Amino acid sequence: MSDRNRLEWRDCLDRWRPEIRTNAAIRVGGGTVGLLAIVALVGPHVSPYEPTAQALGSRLQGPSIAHPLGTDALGRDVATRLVYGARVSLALAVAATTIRVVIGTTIGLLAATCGRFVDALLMRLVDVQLAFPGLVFALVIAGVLGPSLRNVVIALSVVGWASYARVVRGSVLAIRDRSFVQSSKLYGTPRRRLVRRHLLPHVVSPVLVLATLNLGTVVLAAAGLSYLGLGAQPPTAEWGTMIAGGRNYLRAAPWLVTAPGVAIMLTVIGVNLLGDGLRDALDPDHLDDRERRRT
Amino acid sequence: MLRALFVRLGSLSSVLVGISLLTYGFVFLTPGDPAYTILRAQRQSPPSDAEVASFRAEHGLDDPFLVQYVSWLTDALQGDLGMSYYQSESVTSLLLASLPNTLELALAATAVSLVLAVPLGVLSAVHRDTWIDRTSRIVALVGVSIPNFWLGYVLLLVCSLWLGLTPVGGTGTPGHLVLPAVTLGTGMAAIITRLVRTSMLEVLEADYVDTARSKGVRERLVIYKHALRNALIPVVTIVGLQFGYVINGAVIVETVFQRPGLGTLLVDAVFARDYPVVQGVVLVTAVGVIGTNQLVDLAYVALDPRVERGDRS
Amino acid sequence: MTRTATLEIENLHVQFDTGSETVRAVDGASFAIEPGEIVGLVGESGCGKSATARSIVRLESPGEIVDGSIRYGDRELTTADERTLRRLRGRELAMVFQDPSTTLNPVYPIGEQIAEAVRIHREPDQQPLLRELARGASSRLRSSAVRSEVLELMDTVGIPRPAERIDAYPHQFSGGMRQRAMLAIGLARQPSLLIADEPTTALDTTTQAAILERLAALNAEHGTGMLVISHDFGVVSQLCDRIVVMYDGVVVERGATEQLRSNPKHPYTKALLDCLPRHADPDERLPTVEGAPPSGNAIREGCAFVDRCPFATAECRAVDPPSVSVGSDHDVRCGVPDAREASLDAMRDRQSRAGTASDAGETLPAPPSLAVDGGATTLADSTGEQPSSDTGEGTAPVVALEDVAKSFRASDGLLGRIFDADDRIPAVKDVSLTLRSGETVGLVGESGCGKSTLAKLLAGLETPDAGTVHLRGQSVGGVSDRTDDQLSEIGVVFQHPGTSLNPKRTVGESIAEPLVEAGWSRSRRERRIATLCSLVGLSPEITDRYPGQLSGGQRQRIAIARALALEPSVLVLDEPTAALDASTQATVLNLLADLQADLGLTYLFVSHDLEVVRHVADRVAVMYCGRLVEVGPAHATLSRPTHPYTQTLLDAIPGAERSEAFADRTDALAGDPPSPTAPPSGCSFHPRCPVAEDDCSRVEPALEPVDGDASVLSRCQYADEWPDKRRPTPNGASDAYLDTDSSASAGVSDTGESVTDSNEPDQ
Repeated sequence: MSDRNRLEWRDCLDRWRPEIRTNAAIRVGGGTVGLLAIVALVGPHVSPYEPTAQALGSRLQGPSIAHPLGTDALGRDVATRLVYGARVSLALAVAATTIRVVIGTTIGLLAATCGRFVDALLMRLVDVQLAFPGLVFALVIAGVLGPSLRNVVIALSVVGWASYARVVRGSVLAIRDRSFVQSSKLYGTPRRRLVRRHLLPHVVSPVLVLATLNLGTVVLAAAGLSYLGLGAQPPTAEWGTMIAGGRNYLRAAPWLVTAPGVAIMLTVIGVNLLGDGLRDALDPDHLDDRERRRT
Repeated sequence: MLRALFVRLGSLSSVLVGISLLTYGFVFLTPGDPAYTILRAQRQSPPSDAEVASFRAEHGLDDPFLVQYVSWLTDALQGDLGMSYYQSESVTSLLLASLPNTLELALAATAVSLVLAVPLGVLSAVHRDTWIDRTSRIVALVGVSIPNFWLGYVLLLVCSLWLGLTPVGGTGTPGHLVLPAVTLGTGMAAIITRLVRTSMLEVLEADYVDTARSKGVRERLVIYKHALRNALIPVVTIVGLQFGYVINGAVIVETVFQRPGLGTLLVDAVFARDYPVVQGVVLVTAVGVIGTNQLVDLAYVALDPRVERGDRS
Repeated sequence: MTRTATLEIENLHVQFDTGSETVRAVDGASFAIEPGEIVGLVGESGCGKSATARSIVRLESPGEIVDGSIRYGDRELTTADERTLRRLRGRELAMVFQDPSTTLNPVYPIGEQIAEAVRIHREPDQQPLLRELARGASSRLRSSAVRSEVLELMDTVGIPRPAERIDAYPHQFSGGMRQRAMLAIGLARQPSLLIADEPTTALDTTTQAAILERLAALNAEHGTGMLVISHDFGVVSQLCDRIVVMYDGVVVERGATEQLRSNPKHPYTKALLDCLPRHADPDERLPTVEGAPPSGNAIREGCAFVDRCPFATAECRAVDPPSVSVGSDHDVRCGVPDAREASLDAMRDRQSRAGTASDAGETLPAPPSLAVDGGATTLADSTGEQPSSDTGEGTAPVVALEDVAKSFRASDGLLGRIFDADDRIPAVKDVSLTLRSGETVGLVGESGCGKSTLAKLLAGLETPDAGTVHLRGQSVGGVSDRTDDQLSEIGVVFQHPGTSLNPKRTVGESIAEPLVEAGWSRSRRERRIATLCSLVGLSPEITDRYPGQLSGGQRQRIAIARALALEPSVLVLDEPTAALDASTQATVLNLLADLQADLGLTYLFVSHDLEVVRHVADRVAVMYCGRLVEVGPAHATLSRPTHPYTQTLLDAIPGAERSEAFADRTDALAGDPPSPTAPPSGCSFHPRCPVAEDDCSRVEPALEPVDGDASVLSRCQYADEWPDKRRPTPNGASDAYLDTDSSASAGVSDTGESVTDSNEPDQ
């Protein structure tokens, strides 16, 4: 059994390594995301200020050497708060995306492999989920549960799994009738092993690509919820909350809104670049395309 | 044909039942006693047990869940979504008051996005890997990645506060609509540009495009008559599905520009735990999404002759 | 047409830049097409023939013409501006592409697409954007000025009832009809040269025969010059006046068809002609071309064919071979007189001697037992020890299908099933077939006739709705109901080498899969894999590669190795060579013959190619509309068929001589198979049958022995009589054909077909 499994879980990235290394989008996007991750991990340990330390004497100061991005209405250092905010944003996005992937992949696999009745039922469920505009749904769930970071994760997980379910189901259905799956049935391969050996590996790349592209959306949505007041609660440093806090000083201190906005934008651009690059490099269909064009 | 219609109505109604069930069920996610939480939110102080009890009785919260749900659904089907806990108005009339503003914003934003996105996407695909393509791809990437609440403030700062071109907030004149529509339309435009580009690239590789060229068709006609028509088929789906995106965006953009509409209504109701209003808004948006999906399918039939009426599942 | 311009291609070079490397697709091609002449361009896939054809109409993108000239009359096309090209495309040079399922724009009606060509032909420089867009928007040709011309064109190319179909969309047409529509688009320009790139490759042989006849007729009537590109020598030699042979981007030989066929000079041409199954006796090993074509990206010195040529000299490697004239209008690019003059036999000898010595890396010398290169001797042995079908009555059947039937649902949805319980489309109806130990049964028929479903029923990938499958006398169900022993009895090789191996697993893992399932230990597995690799003639190093790194032939060998892993007694081969080039096909067929001789295997060989089946099969079963219409010994059935359908299939083989009774039929061959949802009453073949009697539409014939000979079964009530009939086609027959066809125009047949297609592989 373990022998069988080892055969199955080969690192399929191995094959694409050259593609990944040469793809400019992956390099730039991956670099941005990596840098951000480093900032989130290391930044808090080296920053000279506390994110919540108020200094009412130095309120709403413009960018200077001491405060490269200025201070907010309570005299807190904006740069420090940005660095701490990176932690929150990334953690939120990664957590919510992971839960989405797990729920969505499971439901998609079940729908594709457990017969038509289960398929019909689960796909209706997917339709229901997709009928609710994501942010509206998340806003309501987070609002009903009460504002907190944990509830934002829950809310964003509940609303985003459906697309994974669709993609997984679609990939499995596309691969299911290929002759190599058929031939696997000929040796009496049990269904579970069939799924693990032939179907799951083909699901990995589309899910990975979707998750990466999705990460950006989640960062935006999480910041949006916090901006509306449902996510991180003051005085926690979070980018959406910082924009919400700065909106009353739009004319007097435009950097309060600008700095976290740019931070969000750069993060999402990095993640999207990475996703685009991975899609070009990993997507099996694209691989096929390239093969076809070559002949 | 008739059978296809039945099948479609069948799955549609099951989805609608699911939607209404979830919409109504939200309330019961409230930690603890909803009535207590609601009253607490209303009064900003802990209510007495008697107050809670009378609130429960008044709103039928003591009935089993199914009974409550069925009576809510029956009323909803007749257009009665209950009374707001907070304002002395019916949910229906609140919805009717804010819906036009949101629709106006949605349509304007969609128009902005289409006008920007389709030509940009086509140009990008036709001039693949040139500076035109690269520029438009970067613009689209930034557009997808920009948080719309932040874009709203930047536009406000520049256009209203610094240049004084547009009013700061509210509704009424076309001037009030410009900034929100641009804010909301930018994100959509970016998504659609990327989609048009991918779709066009794929179609431009298709054999029938070469067939058209081999006939001696002018390149512009090859692009606009033969390729674009096919490339638009998947785009129409996405534009239709953008309805959900528009509503999401409206929640934020209306808050930024302090525009009355479904979004602001929802945000206020969520904070006030005004559940009948929340349920009303959620129901209306979900039904709106389902409705646009049906329209998209109809558009499919018109655009793609391969889709037989009603057969696409 | 009075325009008489010659097309001359001189030293054409076309390159493709794939980003990482530059592929030289065309590397110095030169030939000419005189007005009114039909020239054939043949070569294996990747030899640059399509790139050459596309360069003529300047649609070579993403390739790039880097050198050479293409002259049409007094115009140089390689430097022509866009406007000149448009005029030429619109008026003189028409192109028909390969795959009719993708070459028509799906969103416009056929009529509009033809009409567009007509309009452009009239005024190539007048293409107002808005008016054309408006025409696209409401593209029905109700009262358009060009309508009558379009109808005429549709009639010319053999689309029945054009008035009903002018507003139909491409998806409502069958493949053959779509290719006719493409022809109509080509003819709308009244071209002086029609370039057809593999015009029939995607079609059934019957449809192919009809299209080829159309092309010949057009040439005869209008004097349209043609360039026909094909990988199939048969197609080209049937139709063309002259043939150009390409290899790795170079024209290696060109000459008149007759000369080239009877007296080929270039070793490659000889090898190519020699590989065709129809040139070999069934008992003989097919000659092959050793090695693989060069990849076209390395800078080459000398002759392109040198690595595969049995006559290669040191000089061949060093300098480009000269173009030698070997007759009037017959040139060959080969500087070795011995090679040019060698007979096919001499070449074959030389080849087999050289073969073992100069084996190129991937192909190992066959294992000792198979290395005896006179394949004929091996086969002679096998026929000696294994009873052939004629005398096969004594052998116990390995597999027997008894009255099996299978149908598929037309609609898949849950609610669809509730609302419409009775929408099943029959794929296989009451088929009984027996496979005896050591024999090869060929299963033939047009696409959609149910032959693949039958193969799956045998393998257990489908379970029959009715009837039973017997394996060594025991009734067996689908794969999930079979015991391990029963599962290991049958191996399957699927059609597309591209999809039969999991692209994310190494070749070794794929071969190991059945062994893993059977619970073999690792060391035992490894030994078995090594044995299997040598059995199919591959080096063991290949097991670490991924399928994407292998050629089609190699992948098919891997698939065969996997099928053989558990030492089955029966192999089900579903079109095992359909996707392969002629020379690769020959090596795979040889391999299968060797394996059968060595291991005593029983084959069910599913194919649409009668030449291949004639070569490999002991017995043949012919399928039509889900039923067997004829079963009999291969040589007898494929020379003296007892069912008119078999005769139709034989007549459709390119280059074959028509039997007299069928001689006058042209388009009747291409009458599409009837819709599986509503098969014709009586004999399902009667609408297409040239010798049908009145009662054929009423009486449903049974599959019965002919002349009391139990080994020959036929489902024709006139099996004894029709082969003697010598009468011209009655009008009634062709009308009947039109009738069937019109059901397709209403969308019935086509939707039916497509539904079956999408459902068949569904589990």
